Amino acid sequence: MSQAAVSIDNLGKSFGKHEVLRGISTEVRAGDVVGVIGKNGAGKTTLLEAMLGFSPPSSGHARIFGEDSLAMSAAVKARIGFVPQQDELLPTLTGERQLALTASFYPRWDRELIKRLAQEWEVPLQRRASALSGGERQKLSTLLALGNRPDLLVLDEPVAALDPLARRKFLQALLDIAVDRERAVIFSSHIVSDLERVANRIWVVKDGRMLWDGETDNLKQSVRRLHIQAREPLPAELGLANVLSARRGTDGRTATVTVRDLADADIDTAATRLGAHIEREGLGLEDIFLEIHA
Amino acid sequence: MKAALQVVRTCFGLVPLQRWLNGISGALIAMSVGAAILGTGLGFIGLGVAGLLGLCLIALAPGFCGGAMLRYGLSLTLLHLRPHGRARLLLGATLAITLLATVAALPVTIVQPQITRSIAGGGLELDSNLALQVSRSFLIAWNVVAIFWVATFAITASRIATIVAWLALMGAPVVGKLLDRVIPVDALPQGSAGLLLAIGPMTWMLLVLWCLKARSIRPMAFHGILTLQRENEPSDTSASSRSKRVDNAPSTIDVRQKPPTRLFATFWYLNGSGSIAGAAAAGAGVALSGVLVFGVLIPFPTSGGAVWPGPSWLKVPALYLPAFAAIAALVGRLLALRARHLWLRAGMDRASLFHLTEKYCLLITGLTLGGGAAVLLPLSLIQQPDIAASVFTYGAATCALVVCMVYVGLSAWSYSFIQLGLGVIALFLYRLPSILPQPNASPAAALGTIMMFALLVFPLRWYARRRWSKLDWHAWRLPTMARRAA
Repeated sequence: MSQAAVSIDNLGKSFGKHEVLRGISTEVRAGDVVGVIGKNGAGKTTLLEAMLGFSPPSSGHARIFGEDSLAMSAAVKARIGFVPQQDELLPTLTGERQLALTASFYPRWDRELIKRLAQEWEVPLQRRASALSGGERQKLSTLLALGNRPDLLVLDEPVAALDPLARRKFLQALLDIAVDRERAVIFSSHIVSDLERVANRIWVVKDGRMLWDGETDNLKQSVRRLHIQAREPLPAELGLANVLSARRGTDGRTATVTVRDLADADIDTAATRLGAHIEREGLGLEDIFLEIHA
Repeated sequence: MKAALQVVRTCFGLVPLQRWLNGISGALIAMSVGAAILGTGLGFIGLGVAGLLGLCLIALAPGFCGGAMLRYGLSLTLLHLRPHGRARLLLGATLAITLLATVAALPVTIVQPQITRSIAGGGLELDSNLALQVSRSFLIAWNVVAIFWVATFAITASRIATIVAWLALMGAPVVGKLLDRVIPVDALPQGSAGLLLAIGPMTWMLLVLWCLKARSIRPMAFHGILTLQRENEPSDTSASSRSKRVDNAPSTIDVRQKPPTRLFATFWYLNGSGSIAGAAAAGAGVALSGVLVFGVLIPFPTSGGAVWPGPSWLKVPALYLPAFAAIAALVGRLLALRARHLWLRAGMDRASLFHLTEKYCLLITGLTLGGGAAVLLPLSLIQQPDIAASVFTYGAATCALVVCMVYVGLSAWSYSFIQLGLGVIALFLYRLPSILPQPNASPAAALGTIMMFALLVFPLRWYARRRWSKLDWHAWRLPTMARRAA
C-alpha cells in the first residue's frame, strides 16, 4: 500500500480557551479527492492549516508524506501545493513576476502547464496583482500552487470568487490533475454541489469535530429522509436511532425524520411499532449538509 | 541561489515607482562613472551630485523599506511550504544589502580621486585620515543598511515600537547627545573603527539566526492596523461604540474609535484623550518637552550663528514645528479614508462630507500646531525681542504649510499623495532660509514665502475637492496581508 499523503492523529487546536479542533484522526492517500464541508467557523481552515504545520497543534500531530508537518524537509515541501483562503500575492508584482519568484523556490516547475492553464483560465499575467479582480487573483494563486506539480494539493475555498463558468473550468482542471491517481487533493468549499461533482471523499466538520469522513457515495447512502405517515397520532418519542433532524406535522400523524446509518430492517421495525407507513428518500449532499446543521 | 537572486530582483522592483527610479539612477551612475573614466571637464561636484542622486534613487525603496519588506515576506504563510523558504529569503536579503552597499561605494570611488586632484590643484594636501577608502565606504554602507533594516524589521513588529521609533527619530539629537555622554567619541581607543564596522554584520547575523530558529514571525503591525480599518470598519469593535457612531454619523467624525487613527491620535495627542482640548495640550506638551530636554536635561551650547541666533533649547524644538505638517497630512489622509465609510452609512453627499472632514482636519491640526506655537513663540520673543517680527513670520509660514498639508492629506487616494506631499515639503525647505528668524531677515522675502504657501492652499483645496467629487470610494485598497505568521 502506498504511503499516506496526509496522516492526522488525534489533532486538536485551541486558541486560548477556545477549542477549535478536537480529536481529528484521518488519512489521505494518492488518488483521493477530499471535499471538506462545514459551516463558517466550523474549523475547516484551522484543520487545513494545522494539518500543513502553519501553527503547532494543541494535541496530536499531522504527518505529510511520513514527516511531521511542523518539521518537513525541503523534499516534502516541494511535493505540496497550497491555495490559502486569503491569497498572499504581492500586490505590486505582475502575475509573471509572481510566477517567476515562486518557481525559483522549486526544483521542478512545469512552465508549460502553467502557460496552458493561464490561457484556459484567462489570467492576465502581465497585470499587477493589485489590478486583478478577486476571481483572477484566486486563479493566479491556484497557478502558483500547481506549478510544482504537487503530489498533495490543498485548496481552501478555491472557487469562492469564481463565476460559474470559471468554476466549471477550474473543477475540470482539478479533476484532470487528480485523475491520474498519483495525487491527493483536499479542498474546502461552501458550494456543496461542486464538492459532490468532484470529491470522492467527504469530510464534514462540525464544531471542530470530524462528523463524517468517508466516501461521498457512502455518505449519500447512509443519510436518508424518512417521511412517516400514521393513522393514529404519533408518540412523543419515535424511537428511531441516529436522528439528525426531525419535524412533526401539525396534525400529529406525520413526521419527517432524517437519519444516518439506519438499516432498512430497523426502519421496518419502527414502521410496525408506530403503525405507520415510512417512505424513504435519498438526499443530495447539499440536503445532507443542511440536515446535519439543522 | 536562483531564489535568492529573484528575491533581490523583487526587492529592487517591489515598489512600482522604483522601476523607473532604477532606470534613472542607473543612467546617472553610468554617466558619473563614464565621465570619471574619460576624465571629462565636468567638475567633481557635478559628478558626485549625479552619482549620489543616482544612489539615492536606486536605494530609495530597498534601503528604507527593506526591513519592512523582510518582515512581510517572512510572515507570509506560504513561505512555510516553500523548500528552504526562509533561508533563501534571508540569503536574498543579505545579497540585497550587499548590492546596496556596493552601489553606495560607487560614488566614493568616483568622487575621491576628483577631490584629491581638485585639492592638489589648489596647492593643498588631502589629509590621509579624511580619505575614505572604497572598502571602508562599502563597509560603512553595509553597516548602515543592515542596521537600518534590522531596526525597521524590529519596529514594524508592534504599534508601540513604531510610535517609539517615530519619537526617537524626532529626538535623534537627544539620543546622539546621550550616547556621546555614555561613550565619548574621543575616548574610543585606536582601531575601534574596525570593531564598530563589525556591529552591522553581527546584528544582521543575529537577526538571520533568530529568523531561522523562530517558530513564527509576526506580520507587520502597521499593515495589521490598516487591514483592521478595511475589514472591521462597518462593524468595528464594540456594540456600544458602533451604535454611538451610527447615531452620530451625520454630524461627527469620531477619531478616537478607529484603529488607524487611534495610532496617530495616540502619537498626536500624546495624552491619549483624543479630545479637542487634548490636541492643543499635546502640541503645547511637545513644545514644552523639547524646551525642557534641550534646555535643562541636555543643554546645547548657545549658538551665535547668523540663522536664528539664540539658545538651542528654543531653536531646536521650534525647528520641529514644520514636522507637524507631515502629521497633518497623515491625519488628513486617515480621516479621508475614514470618511468613505461614513458616506456609505450616513447618506451624506460628497460635498458636505468633504466640508465636514475638512473642518475636523483643520481643527485638530490647527489646535496642535497652535498649542506648540503658543509655548515656543512667546518664549522666543521674551528671549530674543530683536527678532520678534521674523519669529512671527516663521510661525505664520509654518501655519500655512500645515494647512497646505491638510489638503494634501485630503486628496489622499493614490500615489499622488506622496508626490504632492514631497513637492510641498521640498518647496518649503527651499524657502526655509527666507523665513528663519534672524536679526537682518528680509521681511519682503519672508512675506513672499507666506503668501506663496497661503495662495497654494487654494489650488490644493480645489484639487482635494475635485478628487472627492470624482473618486472611486473603493480605489484605496490595501494589499492582502498575512493573517498568521509562517
